[in-house]
Amino acid sequence: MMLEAKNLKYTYKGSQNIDFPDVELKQGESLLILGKSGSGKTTLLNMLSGLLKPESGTISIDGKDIIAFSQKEMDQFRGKNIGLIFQKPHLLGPLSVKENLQVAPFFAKVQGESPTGILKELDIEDKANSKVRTLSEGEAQRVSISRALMNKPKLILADEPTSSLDDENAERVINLLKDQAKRIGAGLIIVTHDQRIKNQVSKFIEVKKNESV
Amino acid sequence: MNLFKISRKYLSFKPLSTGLNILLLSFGLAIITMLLLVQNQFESVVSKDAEGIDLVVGAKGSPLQIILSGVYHVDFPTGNIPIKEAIGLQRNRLVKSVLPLALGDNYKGYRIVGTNHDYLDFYQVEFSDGASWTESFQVVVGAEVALKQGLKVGDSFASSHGISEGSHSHDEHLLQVVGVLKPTGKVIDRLITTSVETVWYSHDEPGEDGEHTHDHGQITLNGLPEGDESRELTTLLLQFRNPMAAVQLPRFINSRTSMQAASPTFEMARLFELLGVGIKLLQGLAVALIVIAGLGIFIALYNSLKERKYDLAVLRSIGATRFQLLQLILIEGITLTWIGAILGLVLGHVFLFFLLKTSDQGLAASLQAWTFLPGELWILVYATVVGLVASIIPAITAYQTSIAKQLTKS
Repeated sequence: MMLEAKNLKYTYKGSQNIDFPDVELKQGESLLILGKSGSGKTTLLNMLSGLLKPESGTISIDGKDIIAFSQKEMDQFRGKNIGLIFQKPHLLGPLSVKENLQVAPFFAKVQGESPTGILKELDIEDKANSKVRTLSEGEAQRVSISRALMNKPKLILADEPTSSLDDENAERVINLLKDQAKRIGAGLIIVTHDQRIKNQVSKFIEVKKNESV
Repeated sequence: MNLFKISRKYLSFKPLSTGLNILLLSFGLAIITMLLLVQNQFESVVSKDAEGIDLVVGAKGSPLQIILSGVYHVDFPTGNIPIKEAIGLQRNRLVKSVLPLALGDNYKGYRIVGTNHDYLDFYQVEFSDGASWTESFQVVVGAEVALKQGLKVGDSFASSHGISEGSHSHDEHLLQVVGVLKPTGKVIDRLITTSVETVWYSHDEPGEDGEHTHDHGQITLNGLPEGDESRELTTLLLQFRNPMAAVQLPRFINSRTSMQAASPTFEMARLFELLGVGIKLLQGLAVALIVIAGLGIFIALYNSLKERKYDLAVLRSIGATRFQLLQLILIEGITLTWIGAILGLVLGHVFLFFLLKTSDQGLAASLQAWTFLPGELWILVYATVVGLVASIIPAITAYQTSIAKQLTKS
């Protein structure tokens, strides 16, 4: 099993606690996490990527218990094994497109893939030396996907990757995510409420708030 | 890709704010550099010129003025002293040697000093061309005079009456250059030296029939010149025979003669004390500038951090550790201050260069803009401290930023 998360619980201050459904993912598999806005989808994703510690429960990725990791170990594990994609591209403004990609293997201390190769794969190699500012929304999101792929992660986690894109770009991004995850043999989890994605990935789980207070 | 490259990119991403901070810091450091250079060189120049002179004797007046005019040749003399008194002083058993100086003329602002060969020996001069004077109306020019006025051996010129430029000339007696000195870094570089008699004879009124009444041939090469009673000197530079003289001689001269004694060490210490107020004021200004610059860097880093919390969270999400982010901010702060420091050092020298260029006479002329002091390294140390202090709080804030919170906040 690539990813296994059981009995996860989390409480935001001044709000009721959320019980999350268990998550299981095999290598090369894709999974959607669905739910209304505010239901805790992103919280679940943050816990799976080690950005947030759950109150209780277990998470293991590639056989490793990530809850037991120290802050630093977690940062390094994430850099090497998890590719994160957010709703907004979150590119680093002062750096060029290519440099944005090079940052990933530098911090993860791995060799990494060739930036030009990945940019070619995602059909934006002509933007390699462009400033981030000059990119369109769709191009920027493709660059952020490229960055997530740089270290050949075992797991790709995407948080609403298509919500700010038009139909054409959204479809392109989903196909890219699926194709690239398959190419490098990574598991793919997408948090979304986007109807356009639901048609593309069959397996899903749903996050709901507890009814009782 | 490395942390230095990333921090460089971030610094050059906001050229205006980065530039302003660097400029502020460099101005503060430039003033400090300049003060350091001036103070240090001034003191060394001042002590070099007066080295070996135990006491300066002139006409009654301000002791400081006697030192400034007699040793450094910057101020006006207090007046003249009769040759008889000078000879009397030379006979005093506490006096080891006496150097006579007769002032009164200049050539384009450079003072003509009537003295003897002992004065040249005292400053250990070497000739780059020619030799010392042997007759009246022959002169030896200092290195700077020769350079600035283009004088060389064989040239002759008319001196002007007075200490500073622009009074009537002694056209009837041209002075002939017989020697040019090598640079010494001392006061003699800026002087035209000749025999005491040359100065005397220049000022003698022609007789009624237009003939000169004196003999032009006789001059004194060593020791005090022998002239009739009406002859005068301006200043005497004394060396003591023993330490006892330091106590007895000034008192004797001030009370028993019409002359005034002044100690170079004492008077210059007093002068520095007076100047010290101004230097302290400038130092205060420089420190204020540096503090403001430090605050500026702190505010710039702190503000950019607010905008950059996102970026920092992204870096964490792709594997950067908190310690690496801390390093990143520290590198930015220190890079900023180091650029400011190096610019400040260069500016300090450049400022001094232009300052010296506009005042190329007097004591300022012996200062150098392009000498480097070990003390300047301390400026780099100060700058590093400012950079560290200014970036430590932003760096810690970066260290503590929670990434999940930053990234989910849209």
